[in-house]
Amino acid sequence: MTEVSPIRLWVMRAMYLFMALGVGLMIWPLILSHSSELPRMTGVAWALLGTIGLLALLGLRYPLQMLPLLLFELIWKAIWLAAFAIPRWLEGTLDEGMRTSIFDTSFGALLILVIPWRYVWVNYVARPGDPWTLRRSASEAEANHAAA
Amino acid sequence: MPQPEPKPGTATAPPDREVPLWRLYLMRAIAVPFIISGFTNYLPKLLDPDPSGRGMTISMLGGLWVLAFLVLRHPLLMLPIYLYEFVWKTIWLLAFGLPQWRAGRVDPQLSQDLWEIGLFPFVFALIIPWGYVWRHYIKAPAERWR
Repeated sequence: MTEVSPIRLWVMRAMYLFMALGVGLMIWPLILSHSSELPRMTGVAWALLGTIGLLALLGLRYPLQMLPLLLFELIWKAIWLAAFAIPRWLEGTLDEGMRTSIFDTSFGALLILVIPWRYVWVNYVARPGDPWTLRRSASEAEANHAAA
Repeated sequence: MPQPEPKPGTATAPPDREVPLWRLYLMRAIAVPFIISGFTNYLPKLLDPDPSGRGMTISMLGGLWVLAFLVLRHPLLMLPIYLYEFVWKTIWLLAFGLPQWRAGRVDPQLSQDLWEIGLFPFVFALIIPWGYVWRHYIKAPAERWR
């Protein structure tokens, strides 16, 4: 078992709250009232971002169970910085919109401190995955049954 | 024998016996074409980005693609990602796809998006183990507060 301290859970909840409020205030008004002539990818981007805010609400109640949402947030922001923002910054071709996005995205760096990495290691890497065969499924169920 | 209550704030083995093996395979199966198509759809666009684009959408889709590998190993643990896919595609369908279609917009791009995005809320609705979601993400007591 890997204990996660109550303080860490509070920090995680604060992050979920920050995500829910940020997306709720910035993205949801755009989703709820937009012009029908919206560029195609803008609608996709808003739907993707809006969902982060909605699911972050669930993270307030279940911060550990919703960890994949924090991992997603960290990974996509890292990808965006590495593939888009940093190359343009190095080229000196950043526009105002990109600068604003870099500022918004930089809060994602807090996730490195917020995510309980030991818990991630134990549960997502070291632990065997969900069963692939009936035999393993049954033997694990028996073991769990015996433990109960 | 009744199941022990999971200790809040601790890692517990997922009660895989709650979800039949065929369902786990179904959950994994939907990740496979996504992973394969990502090598041609996402990876080239991330390694050689379009200089005129902002890159948000492709980065988020790329993030989902990276996590899809973890989904193969831990479909139940990664359930929030299935919920994410279900919700974002539903939002797109309700807020963007359907209104444009109802407004009479007819173009190949919208038809393609309705097919590639708008169909998937229904696919995910069939794949997600809703009983498990209900028990673990709604009915279960909140993780510890103090």
